[in-house]
Amino acid sequence: MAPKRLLQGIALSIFLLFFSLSTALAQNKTITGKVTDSKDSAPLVGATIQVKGSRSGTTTGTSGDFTITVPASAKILAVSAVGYENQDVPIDSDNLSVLLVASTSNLDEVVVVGYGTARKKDLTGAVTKVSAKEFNTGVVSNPLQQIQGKVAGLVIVQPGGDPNADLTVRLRGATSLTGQPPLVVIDGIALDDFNQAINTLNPTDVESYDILRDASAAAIYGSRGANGVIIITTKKGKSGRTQVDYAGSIGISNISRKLDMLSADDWRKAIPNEWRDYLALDLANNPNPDSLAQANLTALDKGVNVDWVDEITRPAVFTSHSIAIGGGTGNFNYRASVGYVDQQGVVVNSGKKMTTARFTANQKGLDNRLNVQYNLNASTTKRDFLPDQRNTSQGVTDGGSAVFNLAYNYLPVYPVKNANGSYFQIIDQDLENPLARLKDVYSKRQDNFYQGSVKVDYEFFSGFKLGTFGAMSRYNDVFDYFEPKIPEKNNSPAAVKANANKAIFNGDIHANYRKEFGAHSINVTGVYEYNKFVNDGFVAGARGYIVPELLNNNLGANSDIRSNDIGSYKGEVKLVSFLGRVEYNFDDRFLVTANFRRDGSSKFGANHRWGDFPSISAAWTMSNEGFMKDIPWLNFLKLRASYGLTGNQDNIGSYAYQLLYGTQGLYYDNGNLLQSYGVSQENNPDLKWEVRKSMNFGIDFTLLNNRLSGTLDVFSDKTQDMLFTYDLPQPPFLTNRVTANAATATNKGVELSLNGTIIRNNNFSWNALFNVGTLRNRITNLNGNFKGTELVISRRLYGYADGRGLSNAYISVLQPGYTAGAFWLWEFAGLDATGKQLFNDYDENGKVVGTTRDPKDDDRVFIDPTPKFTWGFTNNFTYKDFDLSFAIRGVQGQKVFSNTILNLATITRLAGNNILKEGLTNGITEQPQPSTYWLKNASYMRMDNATLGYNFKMNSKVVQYLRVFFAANNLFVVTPYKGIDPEIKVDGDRRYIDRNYYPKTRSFTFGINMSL
Amino acid sequence: MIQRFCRLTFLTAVLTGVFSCTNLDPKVYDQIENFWNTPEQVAAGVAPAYSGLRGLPSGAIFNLNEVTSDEVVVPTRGSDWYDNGAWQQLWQHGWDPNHGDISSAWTFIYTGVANINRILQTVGALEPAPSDLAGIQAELKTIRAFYYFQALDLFGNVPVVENYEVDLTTVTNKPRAEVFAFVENELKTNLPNLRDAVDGSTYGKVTQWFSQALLAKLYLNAQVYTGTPKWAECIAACDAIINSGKYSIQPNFFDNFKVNNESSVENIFVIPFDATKGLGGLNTQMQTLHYQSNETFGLAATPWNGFCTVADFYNQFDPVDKRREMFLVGQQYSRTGEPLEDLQVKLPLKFDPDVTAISSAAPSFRMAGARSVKYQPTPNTTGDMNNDFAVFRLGDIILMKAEAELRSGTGDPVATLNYQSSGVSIRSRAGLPDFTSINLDDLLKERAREMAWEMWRRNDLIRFGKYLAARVPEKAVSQSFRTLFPIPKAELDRNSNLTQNDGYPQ
Repeated sequence: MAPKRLLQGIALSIFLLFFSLSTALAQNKTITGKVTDSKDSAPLVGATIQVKGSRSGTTTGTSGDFTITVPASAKILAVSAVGYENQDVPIDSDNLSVLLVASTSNLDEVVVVGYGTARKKDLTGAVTKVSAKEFNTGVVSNPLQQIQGKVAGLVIVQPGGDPNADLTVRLRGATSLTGQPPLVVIDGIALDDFNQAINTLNPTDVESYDILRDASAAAIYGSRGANGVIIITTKKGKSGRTQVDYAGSIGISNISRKLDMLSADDWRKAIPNEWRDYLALDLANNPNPDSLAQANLTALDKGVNVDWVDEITRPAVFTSHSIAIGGGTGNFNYRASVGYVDQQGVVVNSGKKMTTARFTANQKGLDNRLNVQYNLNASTTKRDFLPDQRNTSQGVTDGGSAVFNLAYNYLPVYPVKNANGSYFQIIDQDLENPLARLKDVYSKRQDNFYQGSVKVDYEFFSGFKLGTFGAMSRYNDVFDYFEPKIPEKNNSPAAVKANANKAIFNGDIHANYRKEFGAHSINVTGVYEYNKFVNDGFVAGARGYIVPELLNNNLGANSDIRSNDIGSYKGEVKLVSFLGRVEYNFDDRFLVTANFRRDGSSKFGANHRWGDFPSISAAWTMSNEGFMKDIPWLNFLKLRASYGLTGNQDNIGSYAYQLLYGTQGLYYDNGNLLQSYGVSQENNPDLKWEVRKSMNFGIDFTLLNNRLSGTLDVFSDKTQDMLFTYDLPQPPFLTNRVTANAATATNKGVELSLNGTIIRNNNFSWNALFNVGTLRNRITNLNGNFKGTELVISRRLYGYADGRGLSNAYISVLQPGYTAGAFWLWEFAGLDATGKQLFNDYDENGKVVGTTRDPKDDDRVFIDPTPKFTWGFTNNFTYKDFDLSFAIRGVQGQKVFSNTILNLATITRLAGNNILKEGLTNGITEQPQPSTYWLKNASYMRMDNATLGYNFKMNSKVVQYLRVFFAANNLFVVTPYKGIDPEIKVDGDRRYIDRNYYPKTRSFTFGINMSL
Repeated sequence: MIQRFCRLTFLTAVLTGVFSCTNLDPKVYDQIENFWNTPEQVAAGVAPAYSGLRGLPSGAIFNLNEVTSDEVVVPTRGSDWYDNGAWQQLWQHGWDPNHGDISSAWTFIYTGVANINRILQTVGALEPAPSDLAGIQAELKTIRAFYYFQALDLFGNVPVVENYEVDLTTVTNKPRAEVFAFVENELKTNLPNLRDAVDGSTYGKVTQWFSQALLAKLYLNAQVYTGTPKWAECIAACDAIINSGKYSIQPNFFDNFKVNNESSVENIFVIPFDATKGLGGLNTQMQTLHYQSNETFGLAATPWNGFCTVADFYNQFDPVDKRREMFLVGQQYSRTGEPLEDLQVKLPLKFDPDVTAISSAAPSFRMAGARSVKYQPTPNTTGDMNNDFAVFRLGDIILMKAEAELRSGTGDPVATLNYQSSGVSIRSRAGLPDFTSINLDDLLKERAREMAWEMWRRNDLIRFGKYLAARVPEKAVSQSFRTLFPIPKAELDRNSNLTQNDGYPQ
């Protein structure tokens, strides 16, 4: 240990020597000390120590220690650390002990703003940072679950409890009509697929999230920034002693809520009672309802009591381990981590196992003018899918599966297995043994990810840095599928092997200049960036195996290959950008930031190769004005205003503007089947990005001796030239749909965040964070132009209800004047005497003139399902060495169409299908029609996360830190909604439509965090 | 290693940055920017004109021609087949311009037309021109005329667009008679350049005989389309086919429709299907058969229990008429001879042609209606069939000629009906005596028995003035404008120059 310390000391001294030589010529003295938390005496790592009024300084190591050489004349040290109040310490000794007080305002917190950083108090745009100590804990398999409900305006929805399902993430609503997630930037690398990027990341490697909420902040990402930007920073090594961190947890999850289906005994009672009454309504066709009901009861009842949802589910185990080693000397630091997450799904044969490895290092050299950062990381995720989930290149699954439909419909009086051990099978529409289906179908995917990046910066002269950055990322997803022959089904066994690859190159050359003169300071950044995305892959399938044990490992061993069983593809996208930013600060009172980005994309049509994305924002820190200095309760007050343009190009395909020929199916020619070719895509030289024009006004404030801080933002955004598949007139066009720019929509809202220290004393503290956001989306028009032809859409049918007898059952629309995906439904007006549904009949003036059994389109009403507001409330308590936190998240005013309940709550499906108990009592005796009857209030309040932790006081030289915790996820939901869960997809054409979701889970976790 | 990687990355970053800074032309890998270079490519580029036709027999065109007639009904059975009222509207003649099948039929027709217009434009501009350019163009224009015939028959007053790139403002409705004249002229002009051989090389292809058959249909309905009959022209077109000696009556009626029906000597034009090899799209078996009928036919999928035939139609068949075997009626059995039952309501699987209601949730109603197996079900497929679909066949030509003779009072319609080839007439192969006399009512009944489920029933009923009649179950006499379908609402929205057919909301 000693020689190492010595070396570190020497290195540090040399470093400081050079440093001080370049800044001052004076006699120096050396000060040592330790910086700790005022509350729990925990050492503070990475705290900055500077001589007051000078730029030279150092940071504390892992034990909070520092050594600094200062001019003999220095009197005061300025000590700062992220998350703590700044403190000026008089140099009254050679060995200082500094106690920092935790800050609630974090005004000096460093925020990542894209191609650079800024102090929170200097921000002119709307940016929110969430750091590790604020994260949700427990069963966290997707990193973004850590910040669910923590950021106003950032809506994170997890539909169902499928470990392989993607989260729906929307920042200030979506730009395009179908909805797009924000751009995600991980350690400076902007990848093209949000979910794919997120899914490679181990949650325990994340240091912080910075959310760029308004256009002035996101405009630096130009044509990719319109949906907002989430910047993720991973943990880095810190100079000092080698530190080993271990984090481990083990948890168990169960289904949190089940549908109220008929049990076997309920079914046995319902057939001779309720079903019989229903048969008796139609005596002409069922002259003897009693005997028909009895015959059905006898024939179908196999004398068992089975709950099929129980049969296909299980308590699911979650385990997570991660080990990280970090350390370094003054010029070099590193961190290496290995993580493993194994999350079983509560549904049999579903789950994922993820292994991650990450290495980062930072090297300084050449008089500290050179800085080199290396990143290497890799991950492998093995996924077990449910039978009907598909391997998609975009994302993983939508969280639903037809297997749940089977479990709901299969009769509770059917046994799981026959006496001989084979599965009991009834094959029919909606009927198949659900457990057999789960066990028989082999559907797996392995996602491999490798990434390396290097960033080199060199300071040519004081304040001017030039650098370059390069990153290579590779995805390789391997999909395996096998479905055996089920004798009762007479199907042909099928096997598939597929491989999807993506290679992404990101590179840039960047320059930065900072200069202060008097009360003025400027910071100028310029970047040239090049991105290239290449996709390729193949699919091969075959049928007719007679040896099922081969699975899909020998596709040649089959008797039946069809024309669409093999395929391959390849495509590429290039994106070139020039961007710049100027930040100007006058006297810490007036702040102005101007961004400009020029993007060229190979996705855009020839007439629009390049796009410009400017933004400007300004802030006035009123509290630094003389006239406000004397207000005792006001610590900080800043007004912000911004305007900017951002673009969205994610939903344009690689070659969407070009005229392309592709294969068009086979044709018959004299006994042969040959491949035909035709135009697969019309050209659209006018194709370009969507533009979001955003305006934002904000106030940041800190009050009451820094105990209450908050941010209020109001925004008004307009998205133009929205990409959409527009309707083309036929004749003369080849197809009736084309991707073109046209429609316009607005997003408006208010976002408020409050952070307060309610109680703070030696033994007890209570800190609360609250945020609330509103969002109002309106389509203002759906008009466009394609090759000179005006396109007008007055209404596009969008979402639909599905199930038996529900083809063409559209229930939501895209229509000017309404939110995207507004419901368009008949109004339920009760039942007639025989249990047939009645609907309100509207006349041409929009007045209800009675009821009708046969409603028309003009009897439909528009209903906005979107929430009035979404909110989150987090409370953190500490008492001595205990800490307790809980996070509640809510959605108010949301409506959900219960498609699952519509399908199941109907007596007409008896006797051969099981139904909901509600179906015996709702009185409906015909095919239920989509109407407002099935549209339910789905506001909810969810206890997302509650954690109780204990920090051991460590005197050991080996173990520096030890914490144990017990966490619960989704402890309870308060909601009037009767489906399995009110939290469902809020994007795409299935938005706010509840259908066959994977069950939500409730989890309990025990975990340990330890540092050696 | 890491250092080398880093250096390489650094170098790559700088070099790529410098050399490709504004080159944004993407390389296209899996699609084609340049085509039509070889005779094989020309053939493959012309072929989509044919492959599009596979959408004809299972889909909107079938539904509009059959479910609106007395031949096929799709009743709502419990929850199944309600589908927003779409099927009831077809049977009861209550459709509006938003009906999905009406939009789909329009899209099918005009996608086919635009496809051919584009191919014609491209082929016509090739340098050097393909050696058989005139033949290719005649073939393409004749298929296009078939699409326009569908538009003429279903929608009447439709736009006629002959070029690919046209100004939308020129796209307006033409009166039905002008559309008729266009189709007639296209067929007659291009007929001489079509092939007349009937062999493997023209199987599934447009020939002179296809063109004559389509002309015969056109002339047979000329009075409906234009107000002016063209019986003599119809007879002439039929005679051209009959007298060519290229086709004869298939001795076994069902050989025209069996899974391997390539050897039919009667079919004039077929759309080839082979689901297992990639020519999919024919799924009549799924639409009509009961869920448990897969036990009877060894299907690898559970059928959908929808389309069926009502008693009034079924009863037009004499019990000894072999053609009645196209229907499944009564108790159904598995392949091993076990009587089948409905697995969900535990009633015997017994098809009953009596369809008493348009919608019923009664368990027995699941078995209502006779089911068609005219096109023999294809075992072991997951839905689609391998039978080639006959658009025109000699049996129809004979009936058309007889009808034209009867209506015009020329020739000998009875003799025409009794026309023999391969030693059989259409009556004798059905096990029935030849006609000794004929009137229009009997002729329509014979067309019902011979042509059931072959997509001509709406066309026939309109010509015989019976399309609008009341029917069981639950269809009242419909308004006279229902003989034409409306221009789809969506198309009126997209093109303000289009006008709606009479009777429908503009």
